[in-house]
Amino acid sequence: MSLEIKNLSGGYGKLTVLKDISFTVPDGTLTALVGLNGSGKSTTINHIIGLLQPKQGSIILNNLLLNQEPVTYKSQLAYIPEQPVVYEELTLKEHLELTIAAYHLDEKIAWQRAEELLNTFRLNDKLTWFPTHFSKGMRQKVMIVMAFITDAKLFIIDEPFLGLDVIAVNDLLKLIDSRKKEGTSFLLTTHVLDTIAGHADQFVYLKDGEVAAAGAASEFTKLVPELAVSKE
Amino acid sequence: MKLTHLFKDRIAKRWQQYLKYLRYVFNDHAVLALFILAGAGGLAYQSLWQNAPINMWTKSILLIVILVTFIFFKNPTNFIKQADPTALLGDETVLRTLLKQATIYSMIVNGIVEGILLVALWPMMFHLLTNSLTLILISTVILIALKILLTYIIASKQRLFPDAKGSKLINWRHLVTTEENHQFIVLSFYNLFIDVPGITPKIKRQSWADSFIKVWGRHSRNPLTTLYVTAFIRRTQYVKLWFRLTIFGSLAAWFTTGWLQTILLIILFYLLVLQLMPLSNLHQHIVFNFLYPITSRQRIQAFQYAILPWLVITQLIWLIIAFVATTSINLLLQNLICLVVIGGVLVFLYTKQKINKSTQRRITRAFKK
Repeated sequence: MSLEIKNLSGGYGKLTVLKDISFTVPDGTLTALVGLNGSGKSTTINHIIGLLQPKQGSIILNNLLLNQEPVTYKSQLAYIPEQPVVYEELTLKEHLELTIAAYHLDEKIAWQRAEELLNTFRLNDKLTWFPTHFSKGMRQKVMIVMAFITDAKLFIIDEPFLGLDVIAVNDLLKLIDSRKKEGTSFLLTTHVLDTIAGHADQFVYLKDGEVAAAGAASEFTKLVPELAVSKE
Repeated sequence: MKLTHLFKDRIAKRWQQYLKYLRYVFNDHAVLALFILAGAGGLAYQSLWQNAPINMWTKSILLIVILVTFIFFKNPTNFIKQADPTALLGDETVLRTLLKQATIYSMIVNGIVEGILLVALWPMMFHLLTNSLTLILISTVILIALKILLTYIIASKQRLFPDAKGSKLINWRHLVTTEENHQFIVLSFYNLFIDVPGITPKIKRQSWADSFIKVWGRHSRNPLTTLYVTAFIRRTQYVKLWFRLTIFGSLAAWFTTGWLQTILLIILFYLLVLQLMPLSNLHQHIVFNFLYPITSRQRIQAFQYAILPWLVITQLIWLIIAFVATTSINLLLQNLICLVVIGGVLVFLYTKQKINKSTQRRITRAFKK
């Protein structure tokens, strides 16, 4: 089991956002964390990546607890945030070098991966560019390349399609599919399952900080009719 | 908010912001160090005006200094915000009034600053140029008036499109950029002591330092070292700060001697380390900085390793200049021992304690947010 969330309650200070949520992300699967604005998707992610501390419950990643082995725990995690965040003083190439060094990746293998990814996302001629010259979509692609050159066992992707063009969305989905086959797991937040239909294996529907429904992705429309209806 | 009060509201908010940051700046040991430095600077200035030789060179230098006062604080502020040209599209007269009031405000402030700088130079003027108070007063008034006029001319030029002839159209976008640059310069000063939220960094490639960044980063085998070294060099504020304080220290080393010299160098070194501290949590808003599998010990080491070469260069320059000026072996040894010991405590213990404290505060704040 890649990620296991057991009876997690948490939030910000005295405000409890998540109420006793539990779900798992099995190896080699894509789990969609679905919900409307304010349902607790980002709060859940903030707990998993360690930006918030649970009030109750536990988060286990490949038998590791964040507060006990933070460095090993984080080395198994790659994160693509909803809003791209970059180091303004680093070029694209230096962003990749930093990621390679921070994750202790084999330079040769990592750069081979990077080259493929840079080609896929049409960034190969922009290695010496600074982020100030990047559009929002390009910044998002930089986030994707930085995440996908790692050997992380779990990818957490927060609203990945915002700002991406159609070709980039398809390329990202292909990448996810290929890494899934290698056993990598994905937890991806989205408002609706529409874009990732056919790629997601299961879903967890959050409503007011609680798991309102969960199951196979194919059962989404049946189990969460309110989102399916609102889409129509 | 009443739009007629736009200027009053904005000026009040800006000064509230400045006072808030000033409270933080003067809230550490820095205040003590700054007072001692100001005292020492005053004494050095007094000695300079009493002993400066009266000849063409010193007179020319003083005239150049007076002219240089024009370079500082000549730019007007306009209080225009990015959203204004869009949000207040329906009533541009409000913005035009704001612009007019801001220009008058800038003329007054720049005139006052010019007056203060010139009054500070009066003792030198009396010593080197003339004994006549009337002449000095008249010159001061003329120079202040010229500064006010210069501010007005710059403000009038800024508001128009470069190729506009007889057009009444105001270049709002240019005014917004000018105001952002103006604010950047002011807030950069505070940012040297504290973290000022929302300040957009100015990045320059600095190709000359590429090999240094690579070699120093690889040598440390710590991924964050490269990040800190790169930020130090490409975010020009840090290189400038290092350069400025190294020059101040060099002047102190040249013009003073004995324990006064040693104490001044220690205080300046302390100020240098203190003002470099914000570099250690420069990237705290970037989630990856928190997510990378890096221990807190590595973070501290990376910062120390990144600033060390610059501080060693500074100390070497100061020691050489002090020795050339005094040729005293005893003073050289005294400076060397004090700077190395106190420098070591500051770089290795003080920075560690500060970073640990700020990390702890950050974690607590994140959990309580």
